[in-house]
Amino acid sequence: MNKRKMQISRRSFLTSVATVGTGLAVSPRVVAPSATGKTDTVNVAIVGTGTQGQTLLETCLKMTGVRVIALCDLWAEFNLKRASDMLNEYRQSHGTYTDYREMLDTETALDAVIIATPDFCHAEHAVACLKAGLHVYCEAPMSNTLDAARQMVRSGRESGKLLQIGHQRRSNPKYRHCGGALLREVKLLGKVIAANAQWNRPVQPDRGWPRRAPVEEATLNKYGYESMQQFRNWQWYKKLGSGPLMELGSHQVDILDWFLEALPKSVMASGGNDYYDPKTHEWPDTVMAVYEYETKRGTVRAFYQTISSNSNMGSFETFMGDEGTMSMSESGQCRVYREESAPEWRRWVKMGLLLEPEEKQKEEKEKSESEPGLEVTDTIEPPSYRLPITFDEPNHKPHLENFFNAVRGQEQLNCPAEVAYATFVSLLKVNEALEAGRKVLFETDDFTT
Amino acid sequence: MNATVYVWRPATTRGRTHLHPATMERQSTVTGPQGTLPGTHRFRHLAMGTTFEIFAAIADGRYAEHAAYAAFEELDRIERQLSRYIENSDISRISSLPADQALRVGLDTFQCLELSCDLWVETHGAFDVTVGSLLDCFREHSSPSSETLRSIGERMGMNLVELDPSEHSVRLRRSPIRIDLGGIGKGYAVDRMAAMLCEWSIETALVHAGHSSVVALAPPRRTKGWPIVLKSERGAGGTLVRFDLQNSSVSGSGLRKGKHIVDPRTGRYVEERQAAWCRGPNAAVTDALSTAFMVMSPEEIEKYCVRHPDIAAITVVTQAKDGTQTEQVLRFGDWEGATS
Repeated sequence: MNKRKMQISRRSFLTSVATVGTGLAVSPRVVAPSATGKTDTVNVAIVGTGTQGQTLLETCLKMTGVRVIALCDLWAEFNLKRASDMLNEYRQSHGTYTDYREMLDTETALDAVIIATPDFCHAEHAVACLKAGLHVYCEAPMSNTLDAARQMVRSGRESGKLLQIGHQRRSNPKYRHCGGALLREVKLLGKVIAANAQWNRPVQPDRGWPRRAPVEEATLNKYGYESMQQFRNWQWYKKLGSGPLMELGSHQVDILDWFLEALPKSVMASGGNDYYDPKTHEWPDTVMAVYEYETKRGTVRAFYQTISSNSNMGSFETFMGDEGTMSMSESGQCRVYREESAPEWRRWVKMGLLLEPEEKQKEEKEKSESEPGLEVTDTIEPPSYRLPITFDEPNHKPHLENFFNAVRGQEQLNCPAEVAYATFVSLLKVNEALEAGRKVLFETDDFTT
Repeated sequence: MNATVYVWRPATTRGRTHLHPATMERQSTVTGPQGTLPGTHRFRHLAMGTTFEIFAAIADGRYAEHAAYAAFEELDRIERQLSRYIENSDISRISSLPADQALRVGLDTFQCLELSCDLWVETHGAFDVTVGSLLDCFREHSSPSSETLRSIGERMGMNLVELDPSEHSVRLRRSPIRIDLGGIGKGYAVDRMAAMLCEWSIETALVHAGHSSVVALAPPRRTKGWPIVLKSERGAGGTLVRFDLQNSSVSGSGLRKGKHIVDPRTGRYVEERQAAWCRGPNAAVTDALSTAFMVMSPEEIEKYCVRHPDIAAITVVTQAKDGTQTEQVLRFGDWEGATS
């Protein structure tokens, strides 16, 4: 195929217009001075430039005061190249490495490292970076073993450097408003009774690889993989990843702990490899777990589910109290519903904590005050309240910003390793409950490192 | 590892392709490859409000599936940047951007805006992605007042959008400006998907976005290209032209969805133009130009195609004469090798 003729590469299609065009001389494109004022620039490396690493790179590129100066991925021909190509488009000079040790030896100007490698090497990478005197932002889950996660927490503490774990909802203004102002401060839901969270995903094929660009077998073996199949589908292998429960649940069970201001007392669970071939999918593809929490205001039972072969209702977290329900999701709207018997919520609207319900849904009481007589209309839905928060940033941006501001000494971390470790323990216990086939209790020292 | 939200749906129709012969397509639709194509695998995915399809001619079906999955992931990633219906997409962020404040955007968004800017200049405003407010207005009112249109017009035009390539940032000279990449985003995505297939060494393939923008890579063996047919709802037999497409693109635009094309230069719906197609080097360009050709006069299109020898166009114009409507098919540029 004549690729040049096809002109589908990013640059070429622009060139194809530019070279034949006549109007560029009067194009309103400008070369303006720097888009925004310079802040204290943080020099960053990204270790692991697969899908998630590229998402974090894209997000960094939308921020000011952050400069990605090094990239590291053992798959030079594909992951590393894609990320490097993107940085080149942004005309940012950077080093590229296939081994993080070489990167740490060479890149002396680094302030911080973002780690987006497979779970089993998070600890190795994080500990090495911390020891090298660098602050670390590490993707969730922390690891795939308890020992390695504990080692990360200890290493963070000993190094005196920052270790933020990528539970990005912790910095999301929607979640901060729901958990802080609504739940904790004004106790909008009354007494919280139960919570329900899930992340269901559709059937996904195994990941393949472009056949012109496999990683050499010796390189794979050196870094802990037996084959390209394992390398590309590491999430499902017990020695490499931690499975959907940990991968997805680390974000959402963290919300339970955070919003309920407690850690679980017990968990029972059901799950297994119900859909995929257990030879290539070692972790359970379907898991349902029930946690019990003892909060300051009584017992809360929480259900968590993840299914990897059906996407019904996608992902959400819902909290239910005797006065209302709050439902939120990272990618969608957050809604709050009042129980019929609960005191009215106009005061919270007046205080700016909630937005007015849609016109047709205004509370009955409010309508009857305006004029006498029952208005007959089409069916009025019960009121659902929206939040006065608009969140239009990329999902990971506030959490990365929190990290970079902490590096600058301007903020506290929203998810330091100790906090994420508690979630990690809560989730590991689900696997224990699955194996035991009964309810498993948490001991207080389970959560200490 | 952090998870992204997957909107991937399984390719339920995957497998060996035995395509039906082209059925009567409604106008402005580019009918996909026809006839039986042994060894071709077909994959579908819903995104950007339509069904994207990949036809890949390669013996290894499992490999084709992996490559298609990678291409669809790329599509979903692009949609998250470009969609005005996703609240934290770049395009939504630009919509809430105050005047004179720079916003850094992703590479895909920036490149779409750069190309949109160039095409806005080249088409003298006929292709204009700042048309979002106008489209919103027509969604709410069937015939907005001239006062409303004037006010909207003051917030339209790519001269109000500054693009800074050194920072990949966008700055608006007035606000709010609502960007709608509906006339270019699908074409851009199809180009990127085709690029991804090439990265996977799949070079005999066709990708389309809901039949409206098509990229053809190398032709299937013993053919001159992927067979394409452009049809009109009216006229004899409906078929306007057949041709084989390889290493290039074609896009269609029209009134199939009702009155949905507004002339950004006048703020009025297009009434006399039924459909427009553009053939050219890549789908981002043909997507945008097929939209522009819906509103440009035949003289303007002719001039454009003379100036750009790699662009060819067909438009269908209806004219009311003595109480009856007549349909006129106009061809521009090089259609050599095409048959009726």
